[in-house]
Amino acid sequence: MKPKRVFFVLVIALAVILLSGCTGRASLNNSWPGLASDGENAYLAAGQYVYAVSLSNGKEVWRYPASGGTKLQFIAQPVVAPDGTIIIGSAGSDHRLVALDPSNLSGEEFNTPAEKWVFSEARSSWVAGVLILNNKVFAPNSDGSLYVLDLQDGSSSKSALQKIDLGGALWAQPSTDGKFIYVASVDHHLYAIDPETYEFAWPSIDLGGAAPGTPLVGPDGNVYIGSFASEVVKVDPAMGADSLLISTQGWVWGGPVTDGQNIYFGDIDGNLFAIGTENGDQIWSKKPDDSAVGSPLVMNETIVFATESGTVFALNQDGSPAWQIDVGGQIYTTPVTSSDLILIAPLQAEFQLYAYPVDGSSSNPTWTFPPAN
Amino acid sequence: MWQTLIIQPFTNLLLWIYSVLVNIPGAFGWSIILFTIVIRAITWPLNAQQLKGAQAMQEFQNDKEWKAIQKKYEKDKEKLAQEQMRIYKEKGINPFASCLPTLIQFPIIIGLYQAIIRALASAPLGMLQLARNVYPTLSVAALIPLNSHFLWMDLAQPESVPIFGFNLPTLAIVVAITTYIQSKLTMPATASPGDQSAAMGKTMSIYMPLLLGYFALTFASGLSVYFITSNLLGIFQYAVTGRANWRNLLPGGDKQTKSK
Repeated sequence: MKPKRVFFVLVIALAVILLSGCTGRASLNNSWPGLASDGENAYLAAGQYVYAVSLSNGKEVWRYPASGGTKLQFIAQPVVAPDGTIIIGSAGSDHRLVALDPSNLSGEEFNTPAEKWVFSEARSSWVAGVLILNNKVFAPNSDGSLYVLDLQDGSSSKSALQKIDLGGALWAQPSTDGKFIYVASVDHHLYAIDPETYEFAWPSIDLGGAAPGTPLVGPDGNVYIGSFASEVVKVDPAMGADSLLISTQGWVWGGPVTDGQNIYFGDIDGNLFAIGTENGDQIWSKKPDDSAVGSPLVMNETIVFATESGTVFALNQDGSPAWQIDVGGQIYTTPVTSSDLILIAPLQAEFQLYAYPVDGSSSNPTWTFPPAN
Repeated sequence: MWQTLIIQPFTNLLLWIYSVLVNIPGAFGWSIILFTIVIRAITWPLNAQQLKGAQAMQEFQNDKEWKAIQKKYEKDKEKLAQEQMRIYKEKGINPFASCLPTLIQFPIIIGLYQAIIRALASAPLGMLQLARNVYPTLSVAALIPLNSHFLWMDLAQPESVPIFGFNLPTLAIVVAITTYIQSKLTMPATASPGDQSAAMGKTMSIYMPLLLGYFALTFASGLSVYFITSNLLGIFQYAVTGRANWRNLLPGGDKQTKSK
């Protein structure tokens, strides 16, 4: 009798551990790090903290908050405002969007910036970075709303100037051509919004699949956006009319980027594409490696793709290989360049952040964060 | 292996059912209910085996030969155990036949929970994992993101209904009650004080409702929909096979059966 009871209790305990361990709430908000730079520091949003890391030596300048917890989780791209304020939202159970003042640091063990203001009206996670335009913050939230905040009202507890209900989860940073704000949603739609009146420029465009990448305003003035429908479409912002640019083999996750002439993007099947905006012709496509989830990075004369296998590929404009570096882990975050460095934030690698020479001249990192012992 | 044999098939089955029901309000909730019916249909023979096993164990406890042996080797536990195994062998009784189907529930529960969370993919990494787990034959790009709302619930979140400023976990309560009813209905009538299967059944009827109620309280309400559907189907199965012991639901009902 007793051994049976013990066995039964053990089975229950095992079930509880498996359920809790495999599916805890933290994993619901799990994602890859957010990364940005302002020429002096790199800003890394990775789990419980946002870090400012000196570009000169890879040392921590500050972290926020002072002590981590499960309520605040950071996965969105930090955004640096013109006055140096860092704006970042939490994907944890505390759905706050916070502006940090790096000129006002305090703390004993670690430096922590003061909170300049906090916005707490959103109902869900902040997955994407905000867009700053005309002293307004356009903040996309997973609750399906785009919140508009006044950047200069001096309030420490912000209220939304406007809450624009779009639908679905907004996982992509909005983009703008100065005339409209373009917002892509996981609900399959692309929205164009007047930043002054908050009116829709035209009825939303059904992309046929979720769109988690930032829309690109191309050199020709058209808007380019990819989706899980495995295609990239071109949208005429004057008419709100879309046309198919290219069908891909896999879902298109990261937003396309441009070098002023062509547009570049990858799909999660690992295909990389270059399309000419002048006539929409495919210039080249490559499949060097694993899934390309983040956007490519256009840097000098090269286009840099980071893949799920932890490799960074730099291609010349004609598609020929320029250099490649095996970083390790899985790379989903779009690489960032600053001064003479390219920054890579892999998931499940030895370090959270790697800095390499911008020309790929060395496969040894210039520095890593946290610094290697 | 766990991924290939449990998570992936469960996720794809859920998505396939969802794709069929997508135009019905609360499609994901109905998908979980249909999924449960499928699982119950597959494990129907196992459950029938559980009932048979329980009955065989009960008959064994009342067996005259066994009672005589119990008396004979009252003080020699080792010999008693040997004799017990001998009679099990002779009569073709598998002592684990009654608890194996219950244990099989656990991987299903864990697999289903992971499939629900994976299918609902509320964060980018989860969405990417979902893309990796979808069979090529299943076209889900147009379905994603799944609508997690069913009746008053968000199936990705634990459920509660605010009543007078208090969040009442209604589903957890229903899960505990239906689990209790199911356990009670399957409890065999006891005839001897040393009836181990009945004692085990009693233990189960206390622990299982508490355990599943705790799961319902803590985890996504999609899992509670599975528990409730599974319990109701179990009660139905016992009823149609004529094995439901309805008197056990009455206060002192198990004592009535004891005295019989």
